[in-house]
Amino acid sequence: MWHPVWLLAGLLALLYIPPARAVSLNLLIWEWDLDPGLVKAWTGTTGTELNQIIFDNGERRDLLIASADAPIDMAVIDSAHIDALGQRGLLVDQDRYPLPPEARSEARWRSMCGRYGIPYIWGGTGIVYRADRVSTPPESWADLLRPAPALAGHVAMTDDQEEILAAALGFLGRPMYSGDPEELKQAFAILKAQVPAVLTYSLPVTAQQEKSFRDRIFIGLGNSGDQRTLNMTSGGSRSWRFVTPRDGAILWVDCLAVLARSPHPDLAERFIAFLARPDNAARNAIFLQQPTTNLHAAALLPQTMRDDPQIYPPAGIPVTYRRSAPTDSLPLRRRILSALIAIHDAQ
Amino acid sequence: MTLNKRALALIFPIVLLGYALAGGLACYGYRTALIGLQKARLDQEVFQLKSSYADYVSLGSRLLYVVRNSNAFLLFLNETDEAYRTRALAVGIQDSLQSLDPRDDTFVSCSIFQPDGRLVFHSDNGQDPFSTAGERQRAFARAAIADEAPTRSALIVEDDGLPYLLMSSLVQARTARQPVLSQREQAVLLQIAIRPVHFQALRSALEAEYRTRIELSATPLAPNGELSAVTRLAPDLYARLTPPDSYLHGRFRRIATISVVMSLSLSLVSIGVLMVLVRRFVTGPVEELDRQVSGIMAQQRETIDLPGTGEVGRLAANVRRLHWELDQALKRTQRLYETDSVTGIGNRIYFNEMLERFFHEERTTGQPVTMLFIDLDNFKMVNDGYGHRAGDALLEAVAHALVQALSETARACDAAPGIAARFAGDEFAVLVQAGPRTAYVQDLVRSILALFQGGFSVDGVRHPVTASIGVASAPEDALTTTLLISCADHAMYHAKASGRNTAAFHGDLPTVALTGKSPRNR
Repeated sequence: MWHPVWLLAGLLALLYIPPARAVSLNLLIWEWDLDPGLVKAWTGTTGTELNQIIFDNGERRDLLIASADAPIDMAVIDSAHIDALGQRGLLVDQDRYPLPPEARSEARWRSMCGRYGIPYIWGGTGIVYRADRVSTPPESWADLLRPAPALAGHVAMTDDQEEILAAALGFLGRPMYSGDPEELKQAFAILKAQVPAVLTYSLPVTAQQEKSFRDRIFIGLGNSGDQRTLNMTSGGSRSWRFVTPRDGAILWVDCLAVLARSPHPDLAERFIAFLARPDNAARNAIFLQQPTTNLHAAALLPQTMRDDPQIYPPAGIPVTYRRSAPTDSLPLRRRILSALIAIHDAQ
Repeated sequence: MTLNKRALALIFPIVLLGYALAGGLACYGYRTALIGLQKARLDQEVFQLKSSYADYVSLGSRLLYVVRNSNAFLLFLNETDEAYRTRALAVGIQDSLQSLDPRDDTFVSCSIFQPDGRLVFHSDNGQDPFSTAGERQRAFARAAIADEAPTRSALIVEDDGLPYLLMSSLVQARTARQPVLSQREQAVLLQIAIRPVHFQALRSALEAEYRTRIELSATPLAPNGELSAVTRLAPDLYARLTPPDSYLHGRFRRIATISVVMSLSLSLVSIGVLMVLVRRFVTGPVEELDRQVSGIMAQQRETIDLPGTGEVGRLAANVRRLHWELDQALKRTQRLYETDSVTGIGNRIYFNEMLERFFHEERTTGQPVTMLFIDLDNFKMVNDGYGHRAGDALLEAVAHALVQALSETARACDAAPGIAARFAGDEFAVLVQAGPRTAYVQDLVRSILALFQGGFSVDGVRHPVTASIGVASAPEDALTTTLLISCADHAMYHAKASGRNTAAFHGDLPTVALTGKSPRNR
């Protein structure tokens, strides 16, 4: 028999609601990829905290998104990766959260991000270099992949197989997403020949912050916007520049996505809508020194920025849009990178 | 055969046999020690091999453990969409693998095989991205799946000739745990391949050193011979290293050669030392004695030195005594042979011997020789009148007087005394090493003549005996002994003819042709 006191205690326990904890959103994002002012504004408006979880490699980011344990609400995912994750059911279908017309991006970026992402920022893959150290500004992939003797030991390549192979395939005049083993073989040969000149296989932005590499990186594989991060973190000299290789501009777009497992999907969508507002998008683009995906926002950018070839790829250079490489080529592409690192470690 | 040869013939085989025995024993001892030492070394080397293998097994186990327990692997196993699996999840397994990458050039790879034996993931840390799991690795995996072996490891040689340590583990498709028996058919195989570079280097070094293959077997192996080492590399992998006989023989042959050379060298040195000692303390004194006795026999020495006590010393003393006695007897005999029994002075034999010697010295030193031929006058009257006994006594007294006169004159003239001898009957001769005109010879002649002044007294009886003296010398008068005697005889005859009791010098006589015959018919 249940004693009435115990029964009452049980009911009280059921009625107990713990005090509301401050809601926070976890955003998986590249380093220095969001204007801190906007974060402050968001928190000020909504009272929700925004935690940035930083990644520096697209494949590791995907793995985090795929890991059910990782407490992530939103992620910045490049268009080439987003579909696989979305189709796996990991991402919220954005058709459920339509944006107001002025907040919508250009169609080309929207189509690249697809159903699962809202275009966030776009840019190009190219070469970052220190103007105070590199006497002749690089112009093509050859200047990075076959560096001048003076640059030997001062080259930073990313540890992202897609970007590394994009550079080598671009140098060969082949599409960056090629899965052809023969073309990959040629690309590997070019990258292998570059190994002795390479200081490290990590993003210049990341490597720059390592004590042992500081002031030793003169040139590297980077993306538009990296020159700003490099100048911010390199302590004053601000001599980093970005150049789009004349071989061809490889354009990518990063998309904002909400993870299906997020406990606060609506709040996350509100944050995305907040960022997509033209004024906020323009403010963010100015901070990032990168082009915005929203034409309304682009109109708000200063003219100097719109004319800056470091931000908008110069006219006359052929453009390709980043696409995912064929799935069956991925093991080989990854092993090309790991082999390069093994060769580098062995030397 | 000399004593030294005898000693050598005796010592050489004994010493050689001794050293050969010692060398043989040393070789035997060395061989035993060598085998013990080599066995210990072999055991240690094989242990190193095992230890190196264990390092790789440990690495393989850790890799298996890390991959198996990684979230990425679990995600991978649970994902049926292959494209998504490859695109989003495979990189996680690669990361797990890299987290244990030894980064010392050790090649490691990780492969995942479906229950149907299909390879669905392969990654390695090598420098050739285009390589993939070799056919033998795939076959190993297929066999492990077919046998439903929960875990399995082996050392295989891939078709490219490179050895790989393979370690596989069956895992339950959903949980990555070890599958229960009934679910092994659906189990996935996780396989790690490692190129055991250090192990292989050790193995090759050992095989090169011992010039033989290291045998590997899945079943236990027993040592094969006295120099053979066996180790268990893994629960189902045994290794045996048995150096060929030639390995030990090569080493042993060198030592045996050294032993033989040493035995021979030591034998020769020992024999040399022994021979020196035997020569010095045994055969040497005997040889010396022999040499001295031979010297005496060859009249090159007169006596024997005593080498000390002991048998050889006593032998030497006895020989010396024997020699001395023989010598005395010989001298006595010679003295008797050369002594005139009536007068006690030298006889004609003695005279001839001395004449020869003086002539020899005359030829070598130029010292002249002068002979005084003395004939007693009227001696026959003494014999006839007083008997032969008185005659003999007279001859003896004359002889002694002559000797005395000779020595006194020589002393007075400070000259060599020369000799006196009885020539025959009543004839005496004196030989001196001086010229006939010297004061010595003149004085001698005078003193001899003076002995017979007024006759010669014996035992108080004066006999009317005088002396006629013939003097001749070489080389003045004669160049041969015979001629000298003839010349002196001739001069004596002349003195006798001149009235007796006088002396005649052959050089003073009128020149006559000497025919070698004395005027006296002798």
